[in-house]
Amino acid sequence: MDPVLDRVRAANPVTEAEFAGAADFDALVLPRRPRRRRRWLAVPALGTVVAALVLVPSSAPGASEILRRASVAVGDGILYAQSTAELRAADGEVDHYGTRRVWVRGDDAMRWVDDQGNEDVYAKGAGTAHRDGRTGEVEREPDASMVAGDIFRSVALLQSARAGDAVTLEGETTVDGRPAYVLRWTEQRGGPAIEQKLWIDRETYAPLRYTDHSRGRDVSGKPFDQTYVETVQEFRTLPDTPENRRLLELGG
Amino acid sequence: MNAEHARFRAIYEEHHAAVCAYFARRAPRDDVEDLAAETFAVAWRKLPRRVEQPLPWLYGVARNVLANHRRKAARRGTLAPDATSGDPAERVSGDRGLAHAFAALNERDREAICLVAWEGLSVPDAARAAGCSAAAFAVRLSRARARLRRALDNPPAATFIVPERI
Repeated sequence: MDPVLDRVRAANPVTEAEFAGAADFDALVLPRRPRRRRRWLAVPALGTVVAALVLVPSSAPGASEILRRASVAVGDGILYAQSTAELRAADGEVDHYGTRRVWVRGDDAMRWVDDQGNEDVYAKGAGTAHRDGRTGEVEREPDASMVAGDIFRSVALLQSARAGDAVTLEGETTVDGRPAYVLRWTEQRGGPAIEQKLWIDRETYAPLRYTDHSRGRDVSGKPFDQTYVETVQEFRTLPDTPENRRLLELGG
Repeated sequence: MNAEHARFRAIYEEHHAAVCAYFARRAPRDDVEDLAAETFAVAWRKLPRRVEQPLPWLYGVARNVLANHRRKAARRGTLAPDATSGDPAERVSGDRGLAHAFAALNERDREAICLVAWEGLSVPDAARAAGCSAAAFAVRLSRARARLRRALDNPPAATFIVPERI
């Protein structure tokens, strides 16, 4: 016991009990929380990431050929995917991020709709717009940009990395009964290394699943060990027609 | 409500009173609710996905929110002591000797003692709230405690020489 600290404790002018029952979460005005995908917004250009991966000498010809075929199979147009995502911690805790539908046209335009009705669109030169699914309010950020999420980033990799390079073929497996190739690569940009995997359909060469695994310490110094898992439910390439371009607009 | 939202709601409901009390000890009462709301708004944007003990982290956010609040108040020229609750340095209820000794400490020393004595944090948790290492905080606390003890042992003469009755 420390008599000085005890004296300070005894003179505590406020107790928590005075504020018991004052919490009103529904009255709290919460700003839009940056989603995980915004991690990529810090990247100056998607091409930087892709280039970093493709410039490393190839050690896996198998992966190169898979990437080449996938690039051809995905083709040009507006890419559409519906997927579910979750974050799994090493202790078994799982955060479910729900289902999202995403449309992407190159790095020019993108639209994201989640299962809460929240919607984000991006158009090159016009910035981003977010519509709150609950209130309908639209918030615009002319200077902000979005780049495609993980599975589309992988698609960009497929389209660009004709030689395969740092990506290796880990093996073959099945995803929901579909035979798949498993590609693997590691990324490190200042923080902890992120081990990434992409499952590619062996017949259609469409992405089936994406994971990244990272571990380290968070800002409070606590260790973390987590795996982000995104499972693709539907993946299509739509023709780049005026009608389909409307799918890239708010409310499209 | 998604999992992140539900998790944050649980954190808010568990720690709202503690964050309000933190501000009530350091700022005018009228500002407490607004400061707490601002703290949780910042926390919503920045809370790490996995943080086992959110409260020290929330106190760290609250510290920054309070510093901004004081800067804004100073710019507006409204940093005068709150008439209803007095200067934060004097809010050591019912212990005038301690109030004077406390006022003699610098802000950093006061904060180190308050985090432990009033917020009830352990040294490692108080270090997180203060934004320094546990070792640095332990030294800071030890020195602050020594200064406070000296100030209590040798109070300014004016504190006690005025008799209660003449």
